[in-house]
Amino acid sequence: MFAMIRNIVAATAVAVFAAGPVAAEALPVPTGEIVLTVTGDIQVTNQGDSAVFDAEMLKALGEVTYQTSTPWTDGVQSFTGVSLHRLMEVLGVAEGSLKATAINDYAIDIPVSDAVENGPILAYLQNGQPMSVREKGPLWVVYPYDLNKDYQAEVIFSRSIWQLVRLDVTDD
Amino acid sequence: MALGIKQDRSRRRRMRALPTVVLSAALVGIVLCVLSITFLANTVQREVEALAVANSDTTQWSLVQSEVELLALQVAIHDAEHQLVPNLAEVRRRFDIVYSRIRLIAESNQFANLRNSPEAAESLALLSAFLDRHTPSIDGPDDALVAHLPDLSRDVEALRATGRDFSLLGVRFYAADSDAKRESVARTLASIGYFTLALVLALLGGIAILMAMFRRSIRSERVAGDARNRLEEVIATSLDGIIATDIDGRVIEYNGAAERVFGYARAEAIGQDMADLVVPEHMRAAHNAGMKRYRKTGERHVVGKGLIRMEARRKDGTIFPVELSLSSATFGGREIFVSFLRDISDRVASEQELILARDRAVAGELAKAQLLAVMSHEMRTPLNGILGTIELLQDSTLSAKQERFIAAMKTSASLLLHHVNGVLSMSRAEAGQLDLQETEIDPAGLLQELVESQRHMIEANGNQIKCNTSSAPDQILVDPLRLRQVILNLVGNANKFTRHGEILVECDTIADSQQVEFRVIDTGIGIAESDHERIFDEFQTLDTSYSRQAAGTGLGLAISRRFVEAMGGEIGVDSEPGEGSLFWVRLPIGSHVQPDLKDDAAGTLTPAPSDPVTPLQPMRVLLVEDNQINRLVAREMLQKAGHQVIEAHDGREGVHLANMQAFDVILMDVSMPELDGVAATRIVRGTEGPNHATPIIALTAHALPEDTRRFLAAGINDILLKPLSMSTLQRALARANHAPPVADTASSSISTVFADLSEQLGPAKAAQLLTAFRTEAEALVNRTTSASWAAEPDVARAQAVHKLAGSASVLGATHLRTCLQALEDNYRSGQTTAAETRLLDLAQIWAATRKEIERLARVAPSDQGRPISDSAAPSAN
Repeated sequence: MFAMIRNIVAATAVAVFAAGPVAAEALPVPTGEIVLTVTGDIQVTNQGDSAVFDAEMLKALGEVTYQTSTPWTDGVQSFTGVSLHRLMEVLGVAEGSLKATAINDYAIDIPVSDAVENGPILAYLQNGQPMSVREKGPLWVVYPYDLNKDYQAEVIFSRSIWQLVRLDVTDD
Repeated sequence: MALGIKQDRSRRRRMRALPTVVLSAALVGIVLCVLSITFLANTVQREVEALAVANSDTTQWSLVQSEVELLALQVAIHDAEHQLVPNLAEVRRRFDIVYSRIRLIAESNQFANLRNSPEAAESLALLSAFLDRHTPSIDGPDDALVAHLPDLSRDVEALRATGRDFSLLGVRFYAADSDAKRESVARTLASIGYFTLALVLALLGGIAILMAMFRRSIRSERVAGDARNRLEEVIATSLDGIIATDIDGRVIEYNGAAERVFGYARAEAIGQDMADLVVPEHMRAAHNAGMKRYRKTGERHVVGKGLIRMEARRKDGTIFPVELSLSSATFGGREIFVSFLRDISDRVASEQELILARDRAVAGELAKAQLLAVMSHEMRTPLNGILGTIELLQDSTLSAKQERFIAAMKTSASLLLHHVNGVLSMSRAEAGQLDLQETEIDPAGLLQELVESQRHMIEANGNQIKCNTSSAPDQILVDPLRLRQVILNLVGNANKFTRHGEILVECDTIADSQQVEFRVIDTGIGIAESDHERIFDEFQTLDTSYSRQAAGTGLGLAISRRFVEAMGGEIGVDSEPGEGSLFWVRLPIGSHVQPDLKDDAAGTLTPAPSDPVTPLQPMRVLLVEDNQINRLVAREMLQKAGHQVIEAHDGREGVHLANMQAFDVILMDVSMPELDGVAATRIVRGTEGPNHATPIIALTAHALPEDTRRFLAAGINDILLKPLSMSTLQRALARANHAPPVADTASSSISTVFADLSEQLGPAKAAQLLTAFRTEAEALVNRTTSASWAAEPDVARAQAVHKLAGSASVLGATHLRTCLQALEDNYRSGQTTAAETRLLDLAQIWAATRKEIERLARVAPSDQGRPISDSAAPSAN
C-alpha cells in the first residue's frame, strides 16, 4: 500500500517532470517463456508487483551490439542485447541497486548508476546466436570491457552475471 | 714562478668547472632515476591491473562453484530417482549448469594457465568425457532419461572426486601464481624504492651543489661588488680625467676629474661622441680616421702605446695640452676604450719657461765667452805693445825718477796682464778646453825651484817660507805647468793673507794610496768655515782687510780647482780664523809612461819662471808681423839678444823672403790680413825652398788647444803667446836652435865632434884638424866674395862648394854644411840669383862657425897653432 502510494507519487513526478518516453508505459503481457523477472522498486509492472519479460519483449526494447573480449571466452565476441540503461528507463528506475540472481542462485548487486548509455547490456545473442543455459544463456550481463578500461575490473567482472533470471530493485 | 701561477690558475679553472661536472652528473642521475621509476611504476601499474583483471579469488570461486553445481546435479538426480513423477526438468537444468561450468573451465581465458598443467588437462578430459557421454540422454526423451538416471548418478558420484581434485589443484596453482605475482610486484616496488632513494639522494646532492654554487656566487658577487666600489672610488678620486668610450666613440664613463678638466658635466658627456667633446677640430679628422681604421683592421696607433702628448679641447673651446694614455678592454664581448687624460698645461708652461731660461742662460754664457775672448785678445795686443816698449825703455838711459815711473808702469801692466790671463784661463777652463800635457817630474825639485823663485816676494811681506819635501815621491806624472800654477797660486794667496808669519810648502805620499799631497800652510788670518766652499767658486773674494789690499780677480782658487780636478785630483782647505790656513792638493801619482812628452807646446800662460837663459849663438831670424809696434818690440828684443832680424810686413812678404834666403828661425804672427801665419807656414813647408825645414815659431794672442793642434799640423814648431817677454822669446829661440826638424844632427855640433876627436886623436890633433878646416873654409868664403867667383863655371863652383860641405859635415858644422849643400844645388840647377842670396847667408854662417871654431881651438892646447896644410891657402886660380 505504502509502496503503491510512493509509486504513484513517483509516477506522477515522472509524468509531470520528465514528460517523455520515461512516462510509464504499460508493459505488454509476455507471450513466450519468461526469461527475466524484475521485482522491487519499479514503476511499471505487468504481473503483480513484478515486471516479467519474454525474449520478444526484451528484443522490443531495442537491440545494442558490442564487439568485445571477455575473461570467460576465447577471442573477441559479439554480444547483442538490451541495454540496462534502457531497461531501467522503461521500468522507471533511476537510483538504488539491482540484486541480480542467476539460475544457480548466484547473486550479485549492481548499482543502478552502472546503467548508463554505452554501459552494460543484458545480452541474449552471442555472435548472433541465442545463448542456451549451457552457453551462459539465456541472459548474460555484459559490460563493453574493451571499449571502456574502467570495466576491466574485478568488481565489474563479478557483476557480469550470466544465466541471469531475476533482478530485484532496492532503493539503497 | 710563472709556471706556478699557471698551475694555480688551471687548478682554479678546474675547481670552477667541478660543480658544473657534478651538477651535470647529478642531473643525468636524476633523469635516469626518473626514467627508471617511471618504467617500474608502469610495470607495477600493469601488474596491479593484471591482478585486478585476473583475480584468482573469482576464478577459484568458479572452480569450487563447478563442484557445487555437480553436487546440485547429484541432488537433483537423487530426488528424481525417488520421486513418483521424477522432476526431469530440474535434472536437465542442473546438467546444463554443470555443462556451462565445464565449458567455462575448458574455454575461459581465466583458466588458460591452469589448463596447461597436465593434471588439470587430465581432469578436464574426464569432465568433458562425462558431458559427452550423458548429453544425449539428457537431450533424449524423458523415459530414456529416467532409465539413464542411475547411470548418471553413478558417474556424477564418480566425477565429484575429480571435480574436487580439480578445485584443489586450482587453489594450489593460483596460490603459487599469486605468490609469484606478489613477489614480482614486491620486487618491482623494492626497485622503485631503491630508485626513489637514489633519486632523492641525487636531488639532495643537486640541491647541495646548487646551494654551494649559490653561496659562492653570492660571495663572488660581493667581492666583485667590493672591487667595483673600490674601482669606482679610485676613478672618482683620480686626478686624471678618465673617459671610457665604446667602439663607436660614445662616452660611457666620465669621472669627476674629467668634469674639472674639460668642463662638461657627467650628464652632458655620457652618450656623446668623444671626438665632438674633447678632440680639437683640427685633429678630429685624424681621430675619426684612426677610429675607423681600428674598427676596420684592428690596427692600433695610440692604444696601449703609453703616454702620448697631444692637444684637447675644453667646453669653452680653449685648446690645451694633455697627456693621454689609451687602453682597450673587452667587457661581455664588447670592446671599450679607456682614456686617461692629464691636463699638463702648467707643466708645459713651466717647461717652456725652463727652456726659455736655459736659452737665455746659454746665450748669456755665449756672450760672456765671446766677450772674454775678444777682450783678452783685444787687451793683450796693446798690452804686448806696452810691456815690450817698457822693457826697451828700461834699457835706455833714464833718470832715477823715470826708472821709478817705468817700474810702476811695468808693475801695473804686468798685473793687468795677469788679470787678463786669469780671465782667459778661467773661460777656457770653463769651456772644458784644458789640454793637459802630462809628464814625469820630480815634485821636490819643482817645489824647491818654485819656493826659490817666490822667496823674494814673500820676504817683502815679512814672511818666511820653508819647503819640506823629505817624504815626497821621486816621480809623479802631472802637467807640470798646471801644477806649478796651482801651487804658485796657493803660495801667492798665503803670502797675501799673512804678515810677518811663516809659509810652509810640503809634499808627501799619502799612505796606502797612489796619491801625492801638496800642502801650503800659512800662519795668516785664516778663513771662516762657512767660506771654505765658497772660496773655490768663481769671482769670489773675501772681504778682509788684507784682501782689499791684495787685489785679485777672485779666480785663482777657482782656476786651481779646475786644474786639479782635470788632473784627477782634489783640492781643499782646513782653516780657522786667526789660526792660519792649510790648503791641500791631492793628485794621483800616475803611471810611468811617456817620459819624453813635450812639456811646453802651449804652456806660456804660466808666469815666467826665472830660470836663467843661456846665451845663444847669433841667429838669422825672419820676423813676419803685420803690427808695427809688435814688430818693433820683437825686433828690438831679438837684436838686443844679438840676433840678425829680417822683417816682413805680412804673410806674403814673409813667404817671399823665406823663398829667397835661408834663416835659422822664422817668427810668424798668426793673425795677419790676406795670408795668415798658418797658411804662410804651409806654403813655406810645402815649397822646396831654403827654409823648407827651418823652425817656425808662431806668435799669437790666443792659443786654444785646437788652435795649437792646427798650428802644429801646418808645420809650426812652437808657439809663443803675446805679449812677448825677453825670457820667453829667448827660450823659444833656444828650443828652435835644438829642434829636431832644423837639424837632425843637432847633437853633432862642432863642439861635440871636437870632443869626440879630442878623445880619439888627442886634443892637439883635434885642434889641428879644426884649424885646417877653418883655413879651408876661409879660403872658399874669400874666393866666393872675390870678383872672379862670378866668372867661374857653375860646375867648378858647385864642386868647390861640395868639397867644403863634406868637410863641414865631418866636423859637425851643420849650418855651414846645410847652406853649402843648398848653394851646391843652386849652382847645379843654374839658380844663380838664389845662389847669390845664399852667398850672403854663407858669409854670415861662416862668421858664426868660425867664432865657434876659434873658441874651441883656444880651449884646446895650441902648441901648434899653424894650419895643417899650407896648400889650403887661398888660391888665386
